[in-house]
Amino acid sequence: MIVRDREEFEAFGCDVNDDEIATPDKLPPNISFVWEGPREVDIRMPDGKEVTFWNFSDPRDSKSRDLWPSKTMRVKQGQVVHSTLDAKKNTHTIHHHGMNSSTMNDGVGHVSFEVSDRYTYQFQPTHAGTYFYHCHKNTVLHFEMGMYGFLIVDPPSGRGTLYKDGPRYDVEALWALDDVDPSWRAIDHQAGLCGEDAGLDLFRPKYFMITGVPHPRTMTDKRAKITAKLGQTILIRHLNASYSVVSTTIQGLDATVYGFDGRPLLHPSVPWAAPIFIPAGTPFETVSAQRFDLILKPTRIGRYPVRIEFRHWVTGEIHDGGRGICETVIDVTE
Amino acid sequence: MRRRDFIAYGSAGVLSAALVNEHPENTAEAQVAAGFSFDLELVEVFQEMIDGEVLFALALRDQITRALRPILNVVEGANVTFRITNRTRKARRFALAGLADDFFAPIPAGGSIQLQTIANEAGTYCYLDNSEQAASRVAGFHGMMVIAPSDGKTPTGTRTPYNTPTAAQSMLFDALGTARFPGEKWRPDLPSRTRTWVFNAIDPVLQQQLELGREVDQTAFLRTFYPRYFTLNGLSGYDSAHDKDTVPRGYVGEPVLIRCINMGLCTHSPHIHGNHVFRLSSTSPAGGVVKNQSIPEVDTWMLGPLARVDVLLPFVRPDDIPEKAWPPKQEKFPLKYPMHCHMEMSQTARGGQYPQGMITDWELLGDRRGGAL
Ligand SMILES: [Cu+2]
Ligand SMILES: [Cu+2]
Repeated sequence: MIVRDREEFEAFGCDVNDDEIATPDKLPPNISFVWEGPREVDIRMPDGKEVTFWNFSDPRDSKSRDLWPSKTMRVKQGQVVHSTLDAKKNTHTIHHHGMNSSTMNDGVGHVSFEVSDRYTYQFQPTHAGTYFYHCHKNTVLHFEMGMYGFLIVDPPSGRGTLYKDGPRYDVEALWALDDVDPSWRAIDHQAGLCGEDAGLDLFRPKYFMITGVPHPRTMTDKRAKITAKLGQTILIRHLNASYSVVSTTIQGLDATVYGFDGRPLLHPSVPWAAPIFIPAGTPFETVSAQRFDLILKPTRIGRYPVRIEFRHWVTGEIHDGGRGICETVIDVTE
Repeated sequence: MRRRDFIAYGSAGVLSAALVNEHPENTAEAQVAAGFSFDLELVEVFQEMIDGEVLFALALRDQITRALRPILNVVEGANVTFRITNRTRKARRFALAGLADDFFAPIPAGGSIQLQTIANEAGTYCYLDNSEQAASRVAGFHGMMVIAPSDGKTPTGTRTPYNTPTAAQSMLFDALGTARFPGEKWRPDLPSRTRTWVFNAIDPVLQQQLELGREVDQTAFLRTFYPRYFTLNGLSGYDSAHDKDTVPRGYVGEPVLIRCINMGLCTHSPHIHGNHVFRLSSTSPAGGVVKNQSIPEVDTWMLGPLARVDVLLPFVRPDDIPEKAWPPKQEKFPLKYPMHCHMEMSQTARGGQYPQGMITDWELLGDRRGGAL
């Protein structure tokens, strides 16, 4: 038998610290957010069924209440950010993914605490790029339930440039690629934590979405479909928010990855890195939580199809008997 | 009755650490000349999972140190001899992915064999049994082999883990210990500056099939494989987060090389908090070490089945702690951060028990070694 400290073992997952904590080394913020959560949002799928998601909502913005994925956090590099979680139901956390915060501000229960009441996470982003925020409690379930949103860090000059001295863009798309297993909606938020088999290792997604839009509505919905004028530069912030190996193919347009996980690939500060060129029609693969910042500069008007495949992490087969795909288009007009 | 050993996973790492120290690099030339030899035995064991479940497993064991799944450390250019006794009930075939995939002869049950190869390129490798395709590998017959460079220096003399490092690798390793990364260079002489992470996922039904000596249906194998335990260095959750050979620990300015191999069948998404890492190497389709020409800084990297990826954890001050809040006064050191797979099913054990899966923590002990906290 392996001998473990019982109390420490339980504090790792089943009985995590949920003391009320004050933000250490708290500074006056340059920008602040408040998130209430989770709130249930129902989305009607193409087969007519309603599927429940959980979001974080901003009490100062009524439109955010029914938004899923949760409202985008947008900040500027160098700002001291306060992101306050008001846990309305049970305990949750916010992990600002890709932010290298202090341990207390990182939102991971087993090394700090979970929020039962209110806590203000503090950080000061040093790198412009694409991030996301998500609940890090029973993450396997809470992330699948949708407790996430984009976190975009703009350079000091603001929108329109990916990072200082980096590529400029005219059209920006936020793609959160997600796969949804409706059977997990019946699982309790605490399920499994204290030892029971909640089936959280058996993931069989049935719906496939781009930024809250299920396929095939992705063909027309503006959250997925991209429209640009000839001569404009497109930035796609491509987030794998699924539990699949996602394979993405853009037909007819070359793309170049200029940013990876919130870090530049072409910048004097990283002479060891280089952008990644993805020729038109070539699939590229990502795994959960990876972010690619893709820059596209179309040179011809036209409609360019995009196919996103969600593949099983063991078999590599497309989920749901081959139905695990999202299709959308990039329209380049006069 | 064949002898089987009951071992706890927890003891394996401690023993393997002794092997890491066995060959200090300063005698690389002498070691290459002398060559390396390993006395190993293939055994059937029982191992305890994080929830107390005990499962049958296969393992290679160092006959001298008794370490299970030992890390085999050799130096580039050396002759490497393996003397292997097969104490399992089936014939097995020892392979070195990327080095000697197929050409070793099978070892009959109860038999012994002596195999030889040359450690021809520095990097991270793995050994495994490919006699039942992936089944016995996933069931535990696997481990890491590390080939240290015979020279490994950049043009300006900085030590790296690769012979003739790429320009990108040289620039990065040269930049360590400068204003960009205050502190030290990477130190191959200190075992604490290298971690080895072996990822795996275990299907209890498969383990049982092998225990019973049943043939594994190779055609249905992938479709029926249902992993329920997810391990890092054979440990899960609380155990891997407390295993001293798994957890990177150090002060700001003490960069750690992390060698990752995935011996399982799932594609993983290792994600690290607190620092981004630099992706130094990957694996070619034929299994060779690819020294990256471009080194991205990432918080998540893909690790498919049999992938071998080296990353450098720079141990920099976590970038996004506000400047005016550093060093933290109200927050206690060490700062602790998880590294876990983001394909979150891997964070469970037998369908629940989050986060008792594929995870460890890393610890930042302070602003700088010897500095006041
Ligand atoms: Cu939550
Ligand atoms: Cu995490």
